[in-house]
Amino acid sequence: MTPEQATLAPPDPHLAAGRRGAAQARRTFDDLAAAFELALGGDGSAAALTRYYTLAGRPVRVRVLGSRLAEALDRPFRHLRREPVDDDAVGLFIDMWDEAETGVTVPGIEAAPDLAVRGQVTASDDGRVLIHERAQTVAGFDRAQRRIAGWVGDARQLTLYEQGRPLHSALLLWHQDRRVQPVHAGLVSLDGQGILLGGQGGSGKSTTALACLKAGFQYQADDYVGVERTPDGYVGHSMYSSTHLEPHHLERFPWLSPYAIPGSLPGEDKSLVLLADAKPDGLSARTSIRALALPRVVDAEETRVRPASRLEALLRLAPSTLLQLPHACARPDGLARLGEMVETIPTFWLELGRDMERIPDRVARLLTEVTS
Amino acid sequence: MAEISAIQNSGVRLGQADRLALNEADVAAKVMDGEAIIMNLANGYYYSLTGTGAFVLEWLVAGHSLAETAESLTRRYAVSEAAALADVESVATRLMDEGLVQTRGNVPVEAVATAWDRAAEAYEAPQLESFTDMAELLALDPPMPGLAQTPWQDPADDA
Repeated sequence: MTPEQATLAPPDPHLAAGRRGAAQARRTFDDLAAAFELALGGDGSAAALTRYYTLAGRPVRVRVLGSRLAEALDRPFRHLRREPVDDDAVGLFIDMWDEAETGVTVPGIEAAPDLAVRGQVTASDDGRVLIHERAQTVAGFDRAQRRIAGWVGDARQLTLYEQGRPLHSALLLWHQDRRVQPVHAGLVSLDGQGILLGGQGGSGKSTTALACLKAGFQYQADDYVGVERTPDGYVGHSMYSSTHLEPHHLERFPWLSPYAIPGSLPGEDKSLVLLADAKPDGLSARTSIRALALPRVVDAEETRVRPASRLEALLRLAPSTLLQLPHACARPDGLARLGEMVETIPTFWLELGRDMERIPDRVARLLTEVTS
Repeated sequence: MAEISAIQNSGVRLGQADRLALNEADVAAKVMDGEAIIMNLANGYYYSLTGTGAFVLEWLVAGHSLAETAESLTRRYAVSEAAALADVESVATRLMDEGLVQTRGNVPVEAVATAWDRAAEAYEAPQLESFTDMAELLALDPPMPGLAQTPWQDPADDA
């Protein structure tokens, strides 16, 4: 199906509540795209810093105007960098500029401090264009063009969320459009064999993923993973190298403390750690998924593994995936996709004991058990 | 089949000839290993359906009436017609109350999704358990079906 042949969805009454109405979404994207071209200057890309990354297995081209913004956008994706490709091989084009560095403005677009904690998402009536607004970012995503065009007020004032998960809503939706299911889960691997760590916030996903990273595993994610079904099985794609840790959580990982960026705004109660800075050789872009483990903290010394039923696995994985990120993830087939996955790969409880140092050994043994 | 009059619960009245359909605009369901998970993507509530609940759900949403669904239960399980119909009506009313299903006309019956060809286990009444822990998060980020239903995919991604 070509984009032009796609079936248009009916207008969505939820969208009328957005600060930018659905009818304005398309115009907002066009304004952002035109302003970026203006910022480039009449002769093209001389001033833009262009980098290429691999997201969901597809090449992504990122052009940035403003050195501070280029650095900020690169950091959570640095482990996904790749060599340049021709435009016709690019799966997503991202064009962003920093108003503070370029002086290029767009009427009606300005910083929105009230969106520091929660952003605002608006979509056009036909579902083609998504506008995501945060405190210092307004980004438009044209799904048919596979292009994100975005403004940043001042890269020095990005919130921790904007630094750690830039362009999050647009990227989740782009994954969906590629039939790569965003899943609220962690993912770590050994020798290209990965274990997906599913569960709601506080279940132990980050603890497990970070303990494994320290112990020599490859880390793909501790919160969001793109999961794709391929002819060879399930593959998990890394999205960001960022992790967000509460103070008591950070205390458990003193090796990350030097890299922690504390919050400075109301509601920023977690510190941001960009793991590409802390352990650059421990990150990888993708891995096969050989098992799903459901961490949960138990009152025991040792970490134990026992089988989980497929329904238990789906009950832990699907709600936080499909309901926590609804604007991008709650499509009707999402539950079916996750159900197919838990029917395909073995599922386990990972009962986390008090001795965190022993978690990686147990995860490694589980990987051996499911791959031997 | 035993005659049981229509029941009333929270304003929902169902008779044994009624037929139900999944509220597909907002609801997704998955049957697995004889049990089901149901998610209401509009309000963030989700459910597990245990006992014979998944069996009942599949027969109902395939287009069978409540009475036909109860009769199918009696063919597979050691349960009386009266008890089966009472259980079907009870769980169907809960499903209606929660907005997970809606009544529909007398449409052709579809194939039941699950084979259900194993030897029947001991009968257990259908049980619907609800979970509301995700509802608050969903209220902050309401769903956008306009985005969810539009397949903007590349030809290359269809390959």
